[in-house]
Amino acid sequence: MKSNGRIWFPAGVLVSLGLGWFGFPAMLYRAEPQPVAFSHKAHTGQKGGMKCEDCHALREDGSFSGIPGIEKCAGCHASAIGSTAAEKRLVDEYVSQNREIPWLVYARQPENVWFSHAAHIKLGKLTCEQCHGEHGKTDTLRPYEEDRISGYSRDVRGNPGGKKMKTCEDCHGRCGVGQQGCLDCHK
Amino acid sequence: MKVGRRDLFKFAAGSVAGLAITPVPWKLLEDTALWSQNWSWIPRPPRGEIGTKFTACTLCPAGCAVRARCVGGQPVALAGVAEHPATRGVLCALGLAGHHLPYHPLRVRQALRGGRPVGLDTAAAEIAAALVEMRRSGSKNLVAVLDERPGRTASWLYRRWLADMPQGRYVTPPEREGATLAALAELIEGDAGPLGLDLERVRTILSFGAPVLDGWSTPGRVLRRRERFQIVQVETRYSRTAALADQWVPIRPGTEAAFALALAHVLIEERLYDEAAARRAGDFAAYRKVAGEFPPERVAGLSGVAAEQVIQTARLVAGRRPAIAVGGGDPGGGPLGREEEMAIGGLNLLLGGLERDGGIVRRRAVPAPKELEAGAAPVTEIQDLPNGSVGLLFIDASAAVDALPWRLVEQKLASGKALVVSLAAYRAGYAGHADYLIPAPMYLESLQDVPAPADAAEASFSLSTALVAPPQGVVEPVEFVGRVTGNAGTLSDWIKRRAAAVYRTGRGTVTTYTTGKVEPLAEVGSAEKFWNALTEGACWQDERVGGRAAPGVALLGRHGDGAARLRRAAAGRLDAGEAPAGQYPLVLAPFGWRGATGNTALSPVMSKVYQESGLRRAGNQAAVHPATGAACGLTDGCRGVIETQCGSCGVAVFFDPAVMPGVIQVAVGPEPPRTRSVLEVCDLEGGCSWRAARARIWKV
Amino acid sequence: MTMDTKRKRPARYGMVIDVDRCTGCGACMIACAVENNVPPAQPEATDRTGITWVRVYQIHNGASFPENRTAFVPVMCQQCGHQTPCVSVCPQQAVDVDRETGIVGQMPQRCLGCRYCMAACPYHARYFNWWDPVWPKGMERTLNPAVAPRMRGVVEKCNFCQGRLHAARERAAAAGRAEPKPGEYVPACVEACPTAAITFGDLADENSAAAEQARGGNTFRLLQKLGTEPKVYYRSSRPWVHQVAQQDFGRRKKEEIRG
Repeated sequence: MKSNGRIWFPAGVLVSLGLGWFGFPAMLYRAEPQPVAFSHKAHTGQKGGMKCEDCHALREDGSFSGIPGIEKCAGCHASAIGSTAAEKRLVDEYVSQNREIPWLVYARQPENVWFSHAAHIKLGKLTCEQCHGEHGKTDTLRPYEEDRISGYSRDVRGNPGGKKMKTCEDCHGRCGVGQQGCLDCHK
Repeated sequence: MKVGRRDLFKFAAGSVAGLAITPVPWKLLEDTALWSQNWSWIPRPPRGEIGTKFTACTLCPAGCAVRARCVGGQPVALAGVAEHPATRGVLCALGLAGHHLPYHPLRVRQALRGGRPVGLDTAAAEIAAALVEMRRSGSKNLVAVLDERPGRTASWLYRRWLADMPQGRYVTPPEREGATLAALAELIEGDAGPLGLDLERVRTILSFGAPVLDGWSTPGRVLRRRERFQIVQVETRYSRTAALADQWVPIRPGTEAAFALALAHVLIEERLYDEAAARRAGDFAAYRKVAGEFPPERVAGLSGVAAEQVIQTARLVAGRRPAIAVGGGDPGGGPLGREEEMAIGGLNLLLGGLERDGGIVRRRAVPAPKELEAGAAPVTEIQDLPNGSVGLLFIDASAAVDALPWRLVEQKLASGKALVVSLAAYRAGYAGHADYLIPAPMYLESLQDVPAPADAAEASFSLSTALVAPPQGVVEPVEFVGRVTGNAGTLSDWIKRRAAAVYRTGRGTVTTYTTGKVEPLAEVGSAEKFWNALTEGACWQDERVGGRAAPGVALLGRHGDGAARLRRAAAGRLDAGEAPAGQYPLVLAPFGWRGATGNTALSPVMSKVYQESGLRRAGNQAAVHPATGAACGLTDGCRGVIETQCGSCGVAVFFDPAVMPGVIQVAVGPEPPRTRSVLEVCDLEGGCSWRAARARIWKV
Repeated sequence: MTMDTKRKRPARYGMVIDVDRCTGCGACMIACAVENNVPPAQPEATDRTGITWVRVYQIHNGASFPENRTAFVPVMCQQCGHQTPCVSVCPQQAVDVDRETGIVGQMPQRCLGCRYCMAACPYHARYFNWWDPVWPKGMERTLNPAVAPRMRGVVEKCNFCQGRLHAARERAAAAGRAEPKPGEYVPACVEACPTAAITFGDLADENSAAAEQARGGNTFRLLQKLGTEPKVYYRSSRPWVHQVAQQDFGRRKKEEIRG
């Protein structure tokens, strides 16, 4: 039975690897569904015919409007369009009460980061998709995942395509706008 | 299979080795670092739509225009409005943090009776019942409203309602910044109407202790053209104005009248006065005689200013005209006496500044709705009320500014059963003395009108709009008083009617802040459009009143006793008091800062200026000259007790070589006092001034 | 994506403070606290432990009544341009001098709280968070979203209202310009000063009002002998003010408090 002793070490390694690579990420992030089922596809496609800028625009002072307020939704959804349960909830709980929808923003940077959409769009000539991918073509909103320890969105720090400081630095380096002080992007 | 101890160790070792090649340790390390950078209990600024709104500051009567940067509708920063004709983009330290005030820890959110919560309806019913009882019992006691910010629409409503009550009196604090102008209006024959200071064209300001550069008039009118006029500051204290004045003339406390007469004496003797203007004064000969009794040599002994400096000061002031002389007193130190103001008024005439461009000019009053103006109760200053006469006192402290000793109010109350109702936003000022405390809305929480301040050179009108919602249970003071006294009225409706009354004048111009456009009021189109413009950020400014035939002036007043009163005041206020100079060798001189005399709340970040930098003295801090301190056995930074014949209070002592020897300067405010305020030990001196009192101090 | 986003010449933002105009009202300190989310003082905070990125010092000519004279000197981070003392001592690289603006930046999140920089700063312009920031209940709503509040245990200081530079840059970017025009970026204290005693601008731009005033007569910088080349200039027509400015008036004040 001596040979049995040899499997314990690799077994430990294997269990660690399994837990570390699969169990841990599942545990680390807390998934929370978005408050309202929203389809970008329905709004931008043939049916809706809207463009990104119709809802996510730069304001007059150059700041980015982010996710539009309930007023924008109410423009079309003053009364229910269609008869789905989600639509009914949107109208009853938010639109008719004039309450803002507490969206969970995937790309929300932490408090100490200053990011200017205007600089990247107008000066950097980036398109929405270059950073946000095909988010505008999705049909459903995946759950928002928050790091239980740091409180960051998984899209910012967790995923390989995350928007970490390194991501910013690399791109700025490639584009030749790299010579910057800390407070250029921190506030 | 048998599992041995050794196997478990192997397994554990394997696990640890395996863990090192998983993300677990590295991610944990990173996340902990991130967590430590974003502690969840650190407040996060709210996000939201960024916008700009306009309003007007009501923290003091200047009523500066305010541009509020709002995030999601909530003001997060206030700034001045450069387009506003009078304020020119200036906002003082108090105003810059005004948006913090609705959240002040001293905020009253519920009606209180004797310090305990009570329902608003219950309080109203009880006060109304007390009023009915007063009437039923045939009491001769007065029902008075002490309005700490006269001139508002709310003030007109009080005056109108009180006129209908046989025992009603409309009471105001003693006139401060407008005191010189009010005194002058008394001296002019006929109805002079309101007067104003033409600060836009003045070249010399002779100030008797007025904090010209430190919260006086409309700051923008003074500070943005500082290099265009000289300031001669006649003041005991080396104040901020004295520090930046072209000349500082330190006089002994309470000798303003003597010094003013000495200046008049020199002006007359050296023929530096405006002879044409002097011909307006029917009693010039009598005035000249009084002034003649106060030559610089005598006044040098009284005021402590060398005779040559008196002469040189008179020449300096006369050398650069138009010049104006102003009194009014310090916001913490109390007003000057009426005789002092009379003497200062005389200087204005001699300097030729009365009813001249660049001097003191006539202006029109801001119109009020006719229904209120007709039959409004007269204005009584509180010191003129008979002592022990008030049975029910409402104090509208919702717009309180300068300090007023509680003893001054208290002595007017009928002994025993007087009821005091304070309508205030904070537990500050008189709140602690009131039987009922009714929560009032704060600046930025309700619509208020902002009429021209007392010293404005022309009438003006703007609105302070509500940018944030007041807490539940808050009631507009005037509406509460109306409810208790059986008068219905909504303040905002009356403000709108006042705006309509302004519109009906058809005069003046309207300045829109967003565009800076100035258009004649007559071209606005309609009263409704005018109102909309005001609510969105605009102000009305009357045209200047042109020159008029100058009526006669009585330099010594019109009651015949002016000369005698002036002589008495000029002989020295302190020596007129009863306190023996031997027992009280020092002079207590309280001082404060407009809007920060403990009568109302300050933004908590004001701690920067008095706690975290020592830039301003905190309340009950006493500054003495090191020599005086040593003579009294004090040490720098020690605790001390000041005693006057009216009582004693504890102070923190600081040595300051800038203080006049023999004087104790004590700060009133800036925060509501935690202990007995120095104001309560000041000598009321006939009920209208407490700026100097004989005192002694010792170390504890 | 490359050239048009870069400015042609780095700026050197700086200011000229006219001491003769300063009335010591404290509006700059309040405007700064509001703009930069500087919390109100804790009850036990003092002169040494309270945070105010700009502090107005009252200086004296040393004489006694009635010859005493006073001036008010607002002191914020002097934005040292040569051998910036705080940068060289920081073990964390939490302080840097921005090459594009000349502004000395402090990264609170990187700060270790060792306070070497505070010891190194000859102007006492750096402040340590001895407490967590606390605003009275409800007042968090009035915080400025352009600036992140700091936490206990880190050092902070004036950065010429970086949040305002961000906003100005964003506005410029929206208009397709790489950098804000002169006058578009103004720190809160400059805007708030009731007597317009502070002139702010790009000192590298010879035509700016700030550069012109800095070159003019009567100007001085604090503790000039140290050679830190501050970008904050002062001016006064009073010779004794020039003299006192070369003494360490800030330290004297603080050490008195230490008791």
